[in-house]
Amino acid sequence: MSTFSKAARVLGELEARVMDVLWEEHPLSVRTACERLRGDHAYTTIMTTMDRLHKKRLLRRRKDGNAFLYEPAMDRAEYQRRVVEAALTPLLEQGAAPVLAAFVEVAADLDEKHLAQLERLIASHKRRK
Amino acid sequence: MSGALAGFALVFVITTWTMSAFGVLGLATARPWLQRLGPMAERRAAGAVAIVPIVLGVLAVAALLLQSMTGVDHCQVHGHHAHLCVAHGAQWIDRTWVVVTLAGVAATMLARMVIVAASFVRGARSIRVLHRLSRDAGTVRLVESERAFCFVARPGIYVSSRVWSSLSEGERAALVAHEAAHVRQGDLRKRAVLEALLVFAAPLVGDRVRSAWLQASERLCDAHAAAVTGEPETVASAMVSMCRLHTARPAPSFGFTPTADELAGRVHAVLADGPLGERAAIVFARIVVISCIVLAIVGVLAAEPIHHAFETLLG
Repeated sequence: MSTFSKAARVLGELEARVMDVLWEEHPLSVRTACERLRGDHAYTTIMTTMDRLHKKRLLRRRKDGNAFLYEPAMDRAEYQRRVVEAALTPLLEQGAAPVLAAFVEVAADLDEKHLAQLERLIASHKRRK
Repeated sequence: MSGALAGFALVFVITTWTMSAFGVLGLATARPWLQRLGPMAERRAAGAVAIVPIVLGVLAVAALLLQSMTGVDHCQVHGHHAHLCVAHGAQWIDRTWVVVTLAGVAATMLARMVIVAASFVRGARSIRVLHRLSRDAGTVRLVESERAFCFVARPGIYVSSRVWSSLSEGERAALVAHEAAHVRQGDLRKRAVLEALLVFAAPLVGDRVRSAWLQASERLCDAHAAAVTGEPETVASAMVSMCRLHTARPAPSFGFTPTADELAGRVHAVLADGPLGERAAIVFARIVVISCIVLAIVGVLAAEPIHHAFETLLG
């Protein structure tokens, strides 16, 4: 499992808030991010959180003097798409299927010819009614 | 005592695995007939193949224990084989083939248990995430995704935005009715029980039983969807549309992957509007229960010959 998919599952409330702030405005230093969060959390807590998000590859950072400037590694839409993919992968690909019942599952050897045949059958059935 | 337990465990495994192998052969042979009876009968038969071998295994061990507990000691006159009783069963554990067999079986069952448990835990976690990311669209929860999927999982019906936007209104209704039928029938709970039972099945049996059960369940829900919408053609058309979306953007398979024949079978079945097999399923269940009761009585009455037969066979 990639680092991202692990990260997507465990994004805590504070991590999500920090990401929201950085999606609105970036790049930000830890101190500025703290201010944007209206000082609800200690500086060190935010610093640790941003460092963790960086390790999860959700934030990029670069040195600016003595401090780091952080910015999102992807936009919000891309992040959500990846989280959805990360959640779907175990369900659709890694044998977690017992928790669900799918309408139609993937048919490996279905080709256009088969599908067209079935559609003709359905159409002829409709006409007979 | 542990030696005797090894003997009893061996009897349980041999009975369960042999019976499940015979059961799956019977299921395969009777499948065309079961399909004519209806999906409910077919599903009941698949369920029976999962549960009856375990019941028979327990009955066989119970018959041995009964003989052992009632104090009937035939061990003195049958000195030519190892004994399946609490008092004289110690020699089983000294036999290498018994230890190897039991270790292999235990490892297989343990591995299956771990896999099943892990898939449930992982699946539940993914559903929680998906639920948070999905949005309520009335009867279903929409997931923004380019993949083509629609499934029911606690606590809702999850459909990809791609599927939802591609299907007609009638096809959407058919899809929801199909998934609602899964919920009404308690299929997720039943599937969990099935997975637990299949842990004890002989190798290769589980996949076949699961596949038969799943296919019958899908046909049953198709039939319910056709009854609710009053349009079997729309249910069939929804299936084909979903497959077309899959084909347009192939994705790796779910646990059970239907072939073209199976999809065609579902389409034909829903269009034919055949029987559900409700009555046949009830009759089938009664026959199975009565047979198990009769076998239990036979086990009590014929405990001695059964006991001796197992000793002769294994000892």
